[in-house]
Amino acid sequence: MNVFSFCDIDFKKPKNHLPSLETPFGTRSIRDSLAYCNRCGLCLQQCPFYVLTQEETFSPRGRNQALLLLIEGKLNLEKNKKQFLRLATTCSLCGRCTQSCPGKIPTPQHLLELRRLLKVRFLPKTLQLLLQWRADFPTLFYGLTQSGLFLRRWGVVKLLRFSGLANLLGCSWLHQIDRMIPPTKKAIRKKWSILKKEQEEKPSLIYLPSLETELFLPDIAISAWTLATQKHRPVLWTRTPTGLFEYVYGNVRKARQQLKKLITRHAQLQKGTLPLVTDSMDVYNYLKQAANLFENYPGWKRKAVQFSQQVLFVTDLFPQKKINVGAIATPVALDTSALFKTENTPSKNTQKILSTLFLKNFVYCDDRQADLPAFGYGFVSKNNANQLRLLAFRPLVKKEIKTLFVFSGWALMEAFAAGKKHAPQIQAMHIAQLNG
Amino acid sequence: MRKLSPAFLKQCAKIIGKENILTDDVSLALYSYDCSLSHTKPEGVLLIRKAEWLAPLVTLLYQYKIPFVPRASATNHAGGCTPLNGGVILNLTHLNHILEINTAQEYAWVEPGVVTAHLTEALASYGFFYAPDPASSTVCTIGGNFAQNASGARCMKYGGTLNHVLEADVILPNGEPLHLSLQEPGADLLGLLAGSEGTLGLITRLKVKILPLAKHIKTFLVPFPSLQESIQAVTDLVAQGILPRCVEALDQSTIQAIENFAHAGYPIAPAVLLFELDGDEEQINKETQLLQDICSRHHALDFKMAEEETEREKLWKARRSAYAAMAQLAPNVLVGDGTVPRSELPNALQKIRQLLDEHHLRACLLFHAGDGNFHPQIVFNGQNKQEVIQVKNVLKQILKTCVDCQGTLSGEHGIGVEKRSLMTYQYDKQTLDLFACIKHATDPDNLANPLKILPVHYEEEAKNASFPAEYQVIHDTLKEEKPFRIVGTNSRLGTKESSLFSTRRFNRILEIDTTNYVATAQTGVLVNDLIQTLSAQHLFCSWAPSAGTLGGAFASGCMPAIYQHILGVEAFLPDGSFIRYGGKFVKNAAGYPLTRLLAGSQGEWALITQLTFRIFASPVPVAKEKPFKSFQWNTWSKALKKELDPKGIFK
Ligand SMILES: Cc1cc2nc3c(=O)[nH]c(=O)nc-3n(C[C@H](O)[C@H](O)[C@H](O)COP(=O)(O)OP(=O)(O)OC[C@H]3O[C@@H](n4cnc5c(N)ncnc54)[C@H](O)[C@@H]3O)c2cc1C
Ligand code: SF4
Ligand code: SF4
Repeated sequence: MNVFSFCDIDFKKPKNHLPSLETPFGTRSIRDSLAYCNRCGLCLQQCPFYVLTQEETFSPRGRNQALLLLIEGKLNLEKNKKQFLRLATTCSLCGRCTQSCPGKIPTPQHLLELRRLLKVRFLPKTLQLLLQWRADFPTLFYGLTQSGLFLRRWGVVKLLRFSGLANLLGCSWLHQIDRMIPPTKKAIRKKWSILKKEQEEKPSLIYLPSLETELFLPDIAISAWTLATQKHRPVLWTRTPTGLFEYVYGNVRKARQQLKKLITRHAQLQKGTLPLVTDSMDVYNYLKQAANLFENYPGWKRKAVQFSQQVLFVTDLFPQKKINVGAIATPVALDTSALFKTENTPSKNTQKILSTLFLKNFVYCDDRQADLPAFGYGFVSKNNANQLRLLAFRPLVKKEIKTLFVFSGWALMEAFAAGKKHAPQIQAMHIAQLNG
Repeated sequence: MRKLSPAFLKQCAKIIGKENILTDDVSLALYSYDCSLSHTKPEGVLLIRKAEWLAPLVTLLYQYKIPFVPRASATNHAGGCTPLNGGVILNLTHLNHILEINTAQEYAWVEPGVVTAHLTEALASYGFFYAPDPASSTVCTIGGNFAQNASGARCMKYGGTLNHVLEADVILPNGEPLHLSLQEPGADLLGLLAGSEGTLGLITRLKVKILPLAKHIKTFLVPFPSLQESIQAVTDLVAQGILPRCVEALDQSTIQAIENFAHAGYPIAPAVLLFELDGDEEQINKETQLLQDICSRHHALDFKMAEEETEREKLWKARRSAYAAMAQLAPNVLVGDGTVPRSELPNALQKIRQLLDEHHLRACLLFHAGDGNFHPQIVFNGQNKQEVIQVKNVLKQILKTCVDCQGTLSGEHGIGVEKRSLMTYQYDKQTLDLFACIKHATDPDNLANPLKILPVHYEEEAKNASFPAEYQVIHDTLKEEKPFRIVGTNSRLGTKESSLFSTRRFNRILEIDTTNYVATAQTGVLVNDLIQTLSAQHLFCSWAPSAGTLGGAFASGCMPAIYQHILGVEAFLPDGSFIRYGGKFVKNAAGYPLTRLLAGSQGEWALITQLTFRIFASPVPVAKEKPFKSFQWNTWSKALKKELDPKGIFK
């Protein structure tokens, strides 16, 4: 492969790559964005993979430099494919590096470009296929997942796991996901399925639950819904893909198509003026940067910007009056793990809310060496994932945290599974559940 | 590029394992840089996971004559980690264990790859701290700090890394392990390693000094109507015997740039100073009052004070945001580092701002006002070759300005490859020769981080040193090439030999500078006389009372605690050459610390004629005097003796 093709693709084939990145300091091409790195190393100790390996190759600085050299034609992709694959597969896109970087270099976005260039998807094939069907064949997708969940309740998934059949069928991921789903009461499931069918005629807000919330965590969906109904007449959009999956797993064009559909659907309802609230910080961060995908499509870019302005995170719906925290075990901590970990307003506000509510019982755990590896966004190997969980949990245990608030369904599932193993005393709660 | 031979790789794999040898293109590219502008690819990268691997590995490298470059977090700005002569990178980041913390005797043993902030965090739970605080402490390592003699804002009160390392295990470039300690009789070779940038060997374990956490800390933000007044306020403060924990400063353009970015609420004034005082409550309250009086005497425009951690952090916000503010203005930031005597700061800073303006460069100027160290952070576009050349040139002119203002090319970032060509501007040929001799004696095959610190060809460019006429007698004696022994009053040695040369005849106190709080005296001055002269002027020093000479107290090794106060030295070498090192500035990371080579050297390789040292406005702890013990030789000191005094002139 011509080493310059990465550049060419960047600018001329926006179907496969982003032509440029939106950064807090303006729009930059990937090359410029990489060249802004001063190699100061302030990101090193923030990257969980660097902490684990202590190798430059697995540091944000190293990843950025490798990519820059690739673009400059000083490293050959074909010849070094194995190494580049390792660089790409060992980044969980957590964004801790960007947070600590003085120049706010968007390293995870660079790594996504590398993934796109490598044309490799980092998910098991069967899972990849299944998730792709969500947009392509929604009926099939929902049919399969609902029956899967039904069978799981009858122990079939356990049977598949322990008999080894899951592995034989190429579904070893079932093992992982099965451990991550917290139990839910039948009544809650029922309430959620009734809610899903209700559609408001004249809504004043759209609630877009994330896929994991919709499928596995009905209690979070109900909490978010309850929050929404306090002031609004909400409408539920359960089956609208945002394109996030495609964005992360490689196909920018499909991501763009799905996002276009979402924006169009939004625009059709009350001329695109309705606020759209999500319960996942990953989805929120992605939708807030929607314009990123339309750099070469000025008309769409305008629409995307308008659309992004309407996007809210569930904590934006918290009542102004004092929140009723109920019986939450203290001390509490906040896990800010999210795709790209953008320092955004909801995140800052949530910290403020928690410190006002819990005072000294809200503990900052800023010495954590890793975030929770969000399943699905940077499919890191099992071995790595276990070590990351330990890095993420150790300070929580040390500070005797009893409740850990998280920003997304995936983070909750991660915290649930990891907590069972490393810290059963810590109860994970989605931030939407704070309001009782 | 050369390639590592299969025979070497095979033997290397036996020591460190095949999986720890990286030779692929990507790894070589990713270990070719640090935080400077230079890049050079190594031939291999060796991941050192155990300190025990190092001695056999370096021996093997020595056998194959393969150059090696130690590399920790690679955050240095000097190009210290670039393998200019090929060879291998020794990656030391895995050696990151804190081995022992002893609060009773106030020390910690650490591996060199321990991140500075991690040690600070570990100590905090015991109520202790490690004083050196480079701004990169969340990522740089203690080994890297020692190899660069790094320091930070707290340096004014506590000193740089050099003053906090008590013992170390090192591996010489031929693979020989050596234990060095400040307490060992003989020259302070441990100190000589500080700032040696990996050119004299590898540091494999360090014993560092730890201190009890200050009970109270107060931070003050004080804007001044001019740079001069702000520096005068610092001088007056020191004159009152107050040593603030730190005094950080920013000039007007810097404040403006940072405010645009961080909105920290700093007043836009010609100079803003951030003072920090620590100690017990009563003392801080007293010092606060004095500080306030001094600041208002110098027309301070405001006086903000904070005691609570969060409030203090707010005052620090803009200062801490400086690098980020610059990093976001343009693709790249080049951080410079120079030091001048404190009294020269306003003059130097004015000239530098002028230089930057003339070249239309955007930069912020931050300085540690207490110790005359400043960091211009210049914004540029690294992809524009012309711009890179321009920025590099301006930085060179800035550093020359420092030297013109009696300062040094580096206060804390070192020389590496980036500044080595400027060494001829600061040092005479004879001093550069001495640096080269030290390197050659320690590493005759030029394997340890080669081609760093010293300019490649300096012989023609460097000036010859001239010495004061009164030292002609020393020069003449040395030219006779007859062995003799150097003594002061001969009180410690008590030798009855006939061939003695006494420094007693050089007995003048040359200068007592109460602006910078340094004094310069000839080595034949009696310590008691010095103390008396100083106390007549209400001044103090940490020399312990002694009937002997300053030179004797310094070179006998009986007062190791005095070494940290010695800033400059002049001396004759056995071949008659005259060397000069240091001056009135308190930080110097340019070249090997010659004050340490000569400290405790017992006249084995230099006849010291003059010392410059710190003095104080209030009483300070006096250096304890130890009984005299004769030079304890090891392979390194023997090699140095052979190189510096091959004819055995100094007995
Ligand atoms: C944002 C930023 C702020 C900074 N602020 C400061 C500051 O305030 N004060 C300051 O002094 N510096 C500062 N620096 C510079 C830098 O952090 C220091 O020079 C630091 O000491 C380098 O440590 P390191 O672990 O990165 O060492 P490296 O850069 O990896 O190595 C530095 C040198 O030491 C040698 N070396 C490393 N380990 C060993 C060893 N074990 N044995 C022998 N040689 C060794 C290397 O060969 C190299 O020459 C800053 C840098 C950055 C990027
Ligand atoms: S996104 Fe996270 S895992 Fe990836 S380089 Fe940055 S810190 Fe490391
Ligand atoms: S912190 Fe930012 S500028 Fe510094 S090395 Fe990391 S990515 Fe580059």
